[in-house]
Amino acid sequence: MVDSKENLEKEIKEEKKEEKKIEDIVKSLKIVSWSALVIGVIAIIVGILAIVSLPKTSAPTNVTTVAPVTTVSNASFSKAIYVNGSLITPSMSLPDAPVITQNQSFGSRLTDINEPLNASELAVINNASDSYFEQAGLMLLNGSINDVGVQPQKAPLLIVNGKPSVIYLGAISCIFCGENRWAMALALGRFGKFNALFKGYSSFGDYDLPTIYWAPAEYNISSGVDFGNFYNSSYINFISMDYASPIVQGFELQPLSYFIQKADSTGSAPYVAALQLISNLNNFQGTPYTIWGRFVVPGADAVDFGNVNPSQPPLPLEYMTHEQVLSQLAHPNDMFAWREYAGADLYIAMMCASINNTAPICALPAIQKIESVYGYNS
Amino acid sequence: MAKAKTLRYIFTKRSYLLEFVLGSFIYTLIYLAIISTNKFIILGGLSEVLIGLLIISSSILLVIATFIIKNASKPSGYAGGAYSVIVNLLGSLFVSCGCQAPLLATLLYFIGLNAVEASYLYSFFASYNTFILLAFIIINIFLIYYYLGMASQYTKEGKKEILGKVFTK
Repeated sequence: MVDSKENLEKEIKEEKKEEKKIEDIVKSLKIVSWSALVIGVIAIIVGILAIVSLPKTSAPTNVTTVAPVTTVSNASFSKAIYVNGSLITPSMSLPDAPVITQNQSFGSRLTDINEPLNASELAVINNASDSYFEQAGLMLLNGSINDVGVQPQKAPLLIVNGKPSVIYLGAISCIFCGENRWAMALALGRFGKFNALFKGYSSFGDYDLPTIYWAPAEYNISSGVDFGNFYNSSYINFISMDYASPIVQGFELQPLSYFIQKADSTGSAPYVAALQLISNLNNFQGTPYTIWGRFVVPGADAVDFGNVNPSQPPLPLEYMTHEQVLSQLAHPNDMFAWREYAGADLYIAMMCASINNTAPICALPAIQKIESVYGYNS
Repeated sequence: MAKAKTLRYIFTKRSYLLEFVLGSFIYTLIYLAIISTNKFIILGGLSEVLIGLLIISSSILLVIATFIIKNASKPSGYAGGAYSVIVNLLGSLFVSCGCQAPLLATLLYFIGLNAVEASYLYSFFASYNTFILLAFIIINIFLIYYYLGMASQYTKEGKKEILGKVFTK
């Protein structure tokens, strides 16, 4: 009897001890719970604030009535940056990233990667007719082309060896860089000539789109930067850099500091200055990132992946060859090509506004209209 | 066993089922709102499946946390609820990172990071968002398991199991 009483007391004591233990756990849980709740509320508030303060990324659909508003005042960027130094001319081929000649299937093909465009292919870019730019510009202005244009922001002119510059920072694996290079090449071709361009693709994980590279790409390297191009112009400079990673994987990017470190190692003052400028502007939000004279374009020119423009895969462009893309650009008669020309028009208008309309292309009525409607010349 | 029965018990209650449906709906809306801030993103099938799983698991966690909050005599379960919301916001935010990450970048600049610092973070999130989502889902599953254990003490089955353990002692 006494034994069982003692046992019972012991059990009660133990239970009390356990209860205290649970109470302590509950106490600490309470602190965790409340702090998590506070963090949650803060996260929601910060999220809402970020959404509200996010700059608009799309151009107005009715551009004739609503002109885009630049988010940075002119006054802050009135001073130009002057740099002298040699630009980077890459080598025409890379032993570690050879041209692949075998035919491969869409979605996982590297057919002709790093192959230079032949003369007739290069002529499509270098000698594109002004009439195509004019027509695309008018279509853009009357609203019959959509999904083209990004809200630009202001930047100081980077004047290298006496000429204003176009700066491009992208990645070979990135789908939008792949799309964007077509429009960029068309635009740059109006201010000068490419002596070489190379067939390329976005990464397998980013839909294996046919594109052009400015220089042979290190598509096998685990991490690198492909600097330079074969562009010549008497009006402007073209400073280009693409982050290189295994093309058979997905989209990859390194932080800006990586690009800066790589540019330092090239010893090219213009490239170092270009990256310094991007870094100082504090508006880099991924690739592609371009600066057209006095205008930063923080994104691609368009969402343009074929005549029908789905926001979901499959993307028609994924199933096109370089020859098909070039053929469409040579004789534009579909939405894909017109969007590329319209995107190029916006770039041309920004550059014309930055060089006081000194290049012949700037005299095109559509370009002048875009400059005024979009407020580039203000 | 008690955990499975507790889960079944919670989801047979109409109010909790409604909370699950409503929670999933709101989380989907949050995801769509965040994703719409980036016009430069094309989501592949895997990302959409993962975000779907994240939404469902977070909603389940939210329901269990609410059940605990409602039934516990002492405040508990709030962490689960808060985590469910946070993980969904972050998951949606990371999925919105592709070649471009305008929302995340704006957020990072907003909290005072410069371009170099911000680019460290979003280049990481953009490159590894699939793995991050997967990690979130796994953590959600662990938390659901943990919270079900907590919740089971408020159900008949759980109490039976606890009593059974006491008597076998």
